[in-house]
Amino acid sequence: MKELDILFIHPATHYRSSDQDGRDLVTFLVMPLGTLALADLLDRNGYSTVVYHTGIEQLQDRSFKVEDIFRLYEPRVVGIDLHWFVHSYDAVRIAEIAKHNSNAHVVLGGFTASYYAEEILNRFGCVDAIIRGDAERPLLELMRHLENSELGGVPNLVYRGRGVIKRSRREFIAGVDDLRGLDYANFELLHNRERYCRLISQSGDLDPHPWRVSVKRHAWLPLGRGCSVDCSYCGGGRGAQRLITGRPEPIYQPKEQVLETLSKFMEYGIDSVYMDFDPYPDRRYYHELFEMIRREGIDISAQFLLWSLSDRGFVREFARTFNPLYSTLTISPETGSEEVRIRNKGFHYTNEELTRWLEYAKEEAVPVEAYFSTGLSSETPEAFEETIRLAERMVKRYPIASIACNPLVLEPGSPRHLSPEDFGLRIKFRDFLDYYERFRRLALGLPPESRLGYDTEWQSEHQIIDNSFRFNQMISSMKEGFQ
Amino acid sequence: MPVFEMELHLPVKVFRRAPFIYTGVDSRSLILGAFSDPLTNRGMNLQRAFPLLVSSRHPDGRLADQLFSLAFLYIDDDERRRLHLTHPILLEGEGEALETLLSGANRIASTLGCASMDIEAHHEVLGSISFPSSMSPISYDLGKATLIGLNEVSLIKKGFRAVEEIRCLSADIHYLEDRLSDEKRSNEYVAAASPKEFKEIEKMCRSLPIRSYTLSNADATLNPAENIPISEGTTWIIRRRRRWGFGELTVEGFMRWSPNLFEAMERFRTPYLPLFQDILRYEYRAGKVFEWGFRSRDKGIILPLLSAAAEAMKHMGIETIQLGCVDFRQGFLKNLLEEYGFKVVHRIRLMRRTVEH
Ligand code: SF4
Repeated sequence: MKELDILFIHPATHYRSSDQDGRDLVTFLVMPLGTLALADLLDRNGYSTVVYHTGIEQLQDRSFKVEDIFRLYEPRVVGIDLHWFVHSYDAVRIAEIAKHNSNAHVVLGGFTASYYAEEILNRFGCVDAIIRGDAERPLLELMRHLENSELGGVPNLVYRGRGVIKRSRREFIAGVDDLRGLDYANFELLHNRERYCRLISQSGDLDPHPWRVSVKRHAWLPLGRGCSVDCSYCGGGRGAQRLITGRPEPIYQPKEQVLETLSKFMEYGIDSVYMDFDPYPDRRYYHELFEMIRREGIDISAQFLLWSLSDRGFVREFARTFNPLYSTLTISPETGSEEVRIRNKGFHYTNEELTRWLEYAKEEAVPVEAYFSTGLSSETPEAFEETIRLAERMVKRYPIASIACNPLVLEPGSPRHLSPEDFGLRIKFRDFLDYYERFRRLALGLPPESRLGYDTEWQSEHQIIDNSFRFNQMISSMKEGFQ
Repeated sequence: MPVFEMELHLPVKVFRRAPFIYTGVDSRSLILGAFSDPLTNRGMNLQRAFPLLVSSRHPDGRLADQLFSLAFLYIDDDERRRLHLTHPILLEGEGEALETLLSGANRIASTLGCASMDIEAHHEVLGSISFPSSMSPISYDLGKATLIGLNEVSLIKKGFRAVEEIRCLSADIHYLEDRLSDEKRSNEYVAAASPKEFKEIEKMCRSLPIRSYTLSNADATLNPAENIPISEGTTWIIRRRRRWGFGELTVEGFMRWSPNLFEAMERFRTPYLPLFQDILRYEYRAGKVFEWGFRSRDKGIILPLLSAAAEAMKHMGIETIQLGCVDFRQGFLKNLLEEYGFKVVHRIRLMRRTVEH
């Protein structure tokens, strides 16, 4: 068995298939962007580090069990990311396995873990500590302080000390200089890395259509942290960021570093990057970054998620910069009703402005991915009909490569979660245990008590789920538009 | 000796090394990174497209892409499965990876129960070849594509034999017009068909006995012509009055042409045909008749159609007219076109190898 300073484990979410064989399947394969960067930071500071992705391992070898990792390694620390709430059950399950099979100190991090730090430590004895918010310096210091057990000096740490849950006094909020030194592309530390970029581009074994062959390699490009607005449904907006990480305003990744990451991605044969960080509508940062990408001759596709509508110049610059093979611009109008949009979206716009923007995309020959949601505050059944009508118009007239409508799931730390009454919600998910239970039932193949975690004043949970079915059925029955 | 590996992957660099236009039915999903058009055969949904990428492994474990070919599974007119490989694109190296590509493709063809594995070899390319340049859904701009040199003799040694030769002929449009105007022809019944009109008679046109070459009539989705949208003035039909009928007109022939969209691709910067907007608004140097059909070898059918297509092209400022998909059995058409100033500028050889099971 090999001694290891730190073992990172990404907990893919499990669910039991509803067909007769009740197979154990995995979903949500993407790792939070920072995991590899954290592993690399520790590695460069002399700590032996390995990253395991349980989903990749399981897709590679059906008989894989998390326990197997502990037959190979004896880690001092096990770090498990619990950023997105969908991993609530699996993260804790893996923490239990780690505790059972090793003497490691088990640490959790990520937004969900940060938001529920005290509750998790209170309820689950298998978790020793949680890093709230940015984890770079705290994790390094944790490694140093573990020997002398003086965890009170580790910033952002919530931990169990002599049976009592404690919070460290120091605070760390990563600044641009902290981000500058991070390497998000050290795939060498990831076990079975070659499968990762390929598998996150498709739904892996979950894909019910085996003839749909995924042909690109995809990676997430780190561009910054934070947001400048609050959408009612988002657990990563300005307010949530303040609450969880203490970050008052968004920061961008230095552009030179983004170029370096892109160059490394190219060396790994990555075709396309997902760019999901767009907190300021002026987009000066991107105009400069795109110019640099062109100058460096970086040949890669991009899926850019516009958080607000852009001007035509941006659409053109985007088209000039990225390889068009897999490039798209993604927008999320969320709803066809302008009133509902204003109530829920931090960056809102009228349908006329949206149409104008779609014209730009059409003229610049840039395909568009569009996302709607249902379950928004003030969304009545009539307002949802407006969503359907807008989507129909978009598919008929514009270069829509993909369009979908998802029912919103209640996100921890979102404005709707923090003040449900203000948004007309009756919530069913409040505590960590509610999320843990939701995903435990999914993993065991038990029917969920609630899928979304709320009803609204205007629609029941059942109606909201039905809306999204109806929307997606309508879209798949449409023959018109861009085939 | 480098070690080669094959995987299913369409890297973005293929579009730079060999700019192409994709005419498959699943553009929308390809943008998102997947081929989604299945082949339904004998009650099964089979994977249709296989992006074959051969890479060499560096001593440090990294992979360097060497060769790329897009392979398609299709059903021929005799209900046999075949695997069709497009001409391999050289991404790096000297093409030593061809053997790995062929044996990998052979494995796929064998697993799928294919009767043969075929390679589309661009055998002769003289000057600029107008869009579409392939009988598959991926048309490379052959003037720019880094095609691997395919040596026919060595392919024959590997068990391949040439089963088809498809030609494209090209002429100066002004010369052609002069030649055509020397002849007295009646074009009384030549008319442009609107997209709606063509839809109505499409079946009839595609069942004419003398037709442009396609890989398969039974499995037509691969045929680029099926998916190239019809614009006003690009489809011409010739009708004749039946001798025994009372005013009834029958379709005697048709031609469909497209401006050279490889020229438009410089503006649109996209491989996806549905994203090309108002294609007739732009200037082009060349145009191509890519689909045609005639009831008989009658000059009185062919020349009026050619004249109508050429005139429409000239109207847009096009200087070069091409006519493609002429297979080697259609010598009469080649000879006729040569009489009017056309020259063969592009030959595609279809090399076939039987797949052992
Ligand atoms: S724009 Fe809205 S959804 Fe996007 S990160 Fe900010 S608050 Fe969240």
